[in-house]
Amino acid sequence: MKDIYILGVETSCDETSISIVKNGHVDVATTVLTQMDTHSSFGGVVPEIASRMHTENITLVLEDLFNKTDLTMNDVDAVAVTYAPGLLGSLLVGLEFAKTLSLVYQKPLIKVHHLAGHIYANNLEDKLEFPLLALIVSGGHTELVLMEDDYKFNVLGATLDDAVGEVYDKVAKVLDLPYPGGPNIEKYALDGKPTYLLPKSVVNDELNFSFSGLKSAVINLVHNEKQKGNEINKYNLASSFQTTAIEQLVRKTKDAIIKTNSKRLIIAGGVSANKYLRCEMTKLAIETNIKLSIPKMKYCTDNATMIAAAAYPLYLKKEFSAYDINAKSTDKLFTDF
Amino acid sequence: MILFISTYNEKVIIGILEKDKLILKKEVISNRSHSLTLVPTIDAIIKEVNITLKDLQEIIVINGPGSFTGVRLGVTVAKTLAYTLKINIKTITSIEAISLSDNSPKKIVIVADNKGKYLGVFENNKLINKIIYLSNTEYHFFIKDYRAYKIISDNLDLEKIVKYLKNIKNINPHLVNPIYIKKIEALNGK
Repeated sequence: MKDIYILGVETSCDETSISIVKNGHVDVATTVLTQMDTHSSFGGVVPEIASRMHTENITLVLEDLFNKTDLTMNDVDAVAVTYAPGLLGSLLVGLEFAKTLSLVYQKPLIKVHHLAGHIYANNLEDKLEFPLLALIVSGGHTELVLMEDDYKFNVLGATLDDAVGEVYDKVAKVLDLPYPGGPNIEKYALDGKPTYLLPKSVVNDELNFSFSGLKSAVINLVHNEKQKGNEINKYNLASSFQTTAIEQLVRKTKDAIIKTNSKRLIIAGGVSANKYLRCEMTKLAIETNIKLSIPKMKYCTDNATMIAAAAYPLYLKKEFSAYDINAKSTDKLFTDF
Repeated sequence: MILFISTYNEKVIIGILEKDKLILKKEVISNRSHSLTLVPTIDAIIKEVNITLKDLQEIIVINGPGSFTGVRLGVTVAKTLAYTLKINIKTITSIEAISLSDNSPKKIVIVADNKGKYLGVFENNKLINKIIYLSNTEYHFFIKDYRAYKIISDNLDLEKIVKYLKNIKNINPHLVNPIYIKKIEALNGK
């Protein structure tokens, strides 16, 4: 069979990225331009600035990409782009750019859901074999999903309140850690010990998650200590919080492995970059004798490689889009319940 | 062949010109998003005049001010076309482009958004000072001093725009960017 090259475009937040992936699993060339430094002075991503920078940089990122490979646009079989979810103004820049490439070079256009990208980032490590169990962890998601086939999602459990990444960011805020909050919790936890007693989520046989109790406990603890005039040890509290949050993820994932008798586990989403989670999941995989894949660190944050990888099964199914598709700030890849 | 792109307000206007002669113009009002209409209209006009994108020698794009998102989409498509097709690209502001449609010696060109107006004062077809943004209340007071000026808006003469840009230099597509005039709220105080 002829090799299939897909060019992916990702601009859903503050990274401008373009990539070429061969047959859904070989990263031929990738460029990621991050705006992190610009936004950090505001303590978070400013949507209008993000959109402006995507427009300023998008053709430069394309030029940089083709400087890394001997391939040309003529070798590309399709153009894939993140259409949802994300910052609308940012998504639109990537979408119109991708439509224009598709029009100029007469290549089919494939719209890709950002979360599908995070899932298919695992295909860049080790080809996905179905059925598989996926733990999806990010700022907007905490789900255990059984995938029977490409793009067939059966949700086994989901968070009943906050997503795990969201709670990381909120705890970082309470502890006054600098932006980006989540990754800084991990840094502080590294130098701390789990000395603070925090409540574990209620143990039951359901595969659903809950993080709001843990979040409230941290907030209350900080307020109470402040009122008493006691100093909080940020390192130890970050460690205590992280240990408790990840323990829940590991425990529920273990329950799901046993319940579904799965042989394959993947971790997807921004929180999969968390090294403590990666380590604990590796231990779980050894304990339960399951084949685990976690994307490389560079594929855990936003990148176009995963978008091109996720487009490959859609290319095979000829799921192409017309030029009148729109970007969406929210859109579900699957429904939770 | 020249491709003209305007997306600064609620309309997507796409034109094809041969030198400074208009071949075809398409105007679509986007109720929701220019994303639904911009590339489809370019695709349609190219097919309708029976050419391919390879026949284009130049892109002209209105680079603002106006709707932030609208201008951004027009400019993104225009610079991507120019870069990939390796053809010339020229920009013109919405205010100057509209000014070319009227020959009055004293005129004020306005582009309105929901909170105020972008505005340029012209005397003998020359923009005096620079383009400014006024809130609707500020505009109310400002305009009292300009009773003798004709107020014009939202009218584009594509042939006049091409003629006007004839001696203007091309820009490197990478450097073609929107002009916004208005400050971002998050930047206030920074």
